[in-house]
Amino acid sequence: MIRTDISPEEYALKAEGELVKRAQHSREAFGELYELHYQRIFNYAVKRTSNVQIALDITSVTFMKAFSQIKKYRWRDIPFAAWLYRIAGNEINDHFRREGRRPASIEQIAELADTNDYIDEINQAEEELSRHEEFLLLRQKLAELPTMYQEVIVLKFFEKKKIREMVNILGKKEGTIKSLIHRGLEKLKEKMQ
Amino acid sequence: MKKEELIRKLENAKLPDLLVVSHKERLKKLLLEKPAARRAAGKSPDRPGAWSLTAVFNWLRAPAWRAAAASAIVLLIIGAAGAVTFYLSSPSPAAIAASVVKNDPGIQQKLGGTGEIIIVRVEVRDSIASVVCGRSVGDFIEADVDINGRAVVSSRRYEAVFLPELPAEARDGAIKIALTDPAVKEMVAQGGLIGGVLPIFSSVSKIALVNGNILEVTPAASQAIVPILYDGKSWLVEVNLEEGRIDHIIEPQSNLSPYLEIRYAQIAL
Repeated sequence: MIRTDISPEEYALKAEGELVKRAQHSREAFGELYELHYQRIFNYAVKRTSNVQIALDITSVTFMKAFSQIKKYRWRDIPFAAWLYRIAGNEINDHFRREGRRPASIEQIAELADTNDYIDEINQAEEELSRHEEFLLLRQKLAELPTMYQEVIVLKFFEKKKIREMVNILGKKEGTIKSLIHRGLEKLKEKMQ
Repeated sequence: MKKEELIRKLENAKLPDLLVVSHKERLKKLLLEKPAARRAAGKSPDRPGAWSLTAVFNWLRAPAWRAAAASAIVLLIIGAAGAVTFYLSSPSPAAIAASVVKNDPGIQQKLGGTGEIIIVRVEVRDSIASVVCGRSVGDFIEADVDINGRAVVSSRRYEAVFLPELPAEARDGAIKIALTDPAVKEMVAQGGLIGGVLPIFSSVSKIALVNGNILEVTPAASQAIVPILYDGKSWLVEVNLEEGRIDHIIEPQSNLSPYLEIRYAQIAL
């Protein structure tokens, strides 16, 4: 029965809190969290990197780290996704800092992957991505900006996050985020001229 | 282009919504497989709450990947002071890089807190060295050092490091040692709470660089930190389990990751 003394959002948050607490002791419960969040984290990585293979790597690392740290995770009435976004964001930023040194790239997949299905699926995903020309053009211009601007613009416009949610993900103050968005848009506008 | 037009473009762009099912399934299976099943399958040994990322990438990607990464890595495992002394007394590029990092004000500031900076790994490639360091608690920093210029050129933080739980015996021993200090005992007597005992990084029994940017660190169990929550502040008592003594008492500070929960409990003296 739906309780009437709290909003649906609060109810959903409480339910997620319970699931997170169970996941701290149960692999199956972690599996539920994984099912809930896998695709959005993968697609966030795609939107940040526009590279399917790198996005897969980042998704793997994000969930492995979450799995390793879940027992120490402190539920603070903040959606679990914020933590996953934060881990993924750190991985993505690290990827950009280390670009050129990372050994894996999509070009290497054919010789590195070990099943045909896997290769085919990645090729299909790449193809699907290549059809999003407008997005790729925006991403290409975004990639010319410093990472901090890319991060806030992707979260706000591609992930449709509210400022309040971005505060939880980025651990930055609301004013700082607004300012980053404003400056990022100004810089992106210049790149789009 | 006007700003409003750009915002409209961003808001209305058709976005990819991709899924690589085989990756999703394999990763899930890997995450949820029980340790015994993984061992039986010849995969990485496991410990509670922690996972070897090497195993992930071996399984999700190709075996050749690890070999290539491993061959490119020169890993120096340092056992705390002895190894640091080795670095500092040696004229090797690794020693220079370690020294540069330890003395860099930017690194000191990034690490926060006080106490000695511990070098846990140095990897030299041509004239650039990658140095991983940390203090006894908190995050690790990896710094790229220009050996010829003797300067840190870039650095980044590792927020997620795998901390194995200390065995119950070591935990109880650490608390007993911490309580030998009269000030600590007084804090606890006045209602101070003792937190979950943490391993300490001043000695590292095993370190592995996985996937080029992930550190897996296994601290030696010879030292630990006992957090004390007193008067709204966290005090950290560093204890030496082997020698049964307190090494340091760190005054309240806030460089612990916000996602690492310390559970505090009151104990009877």
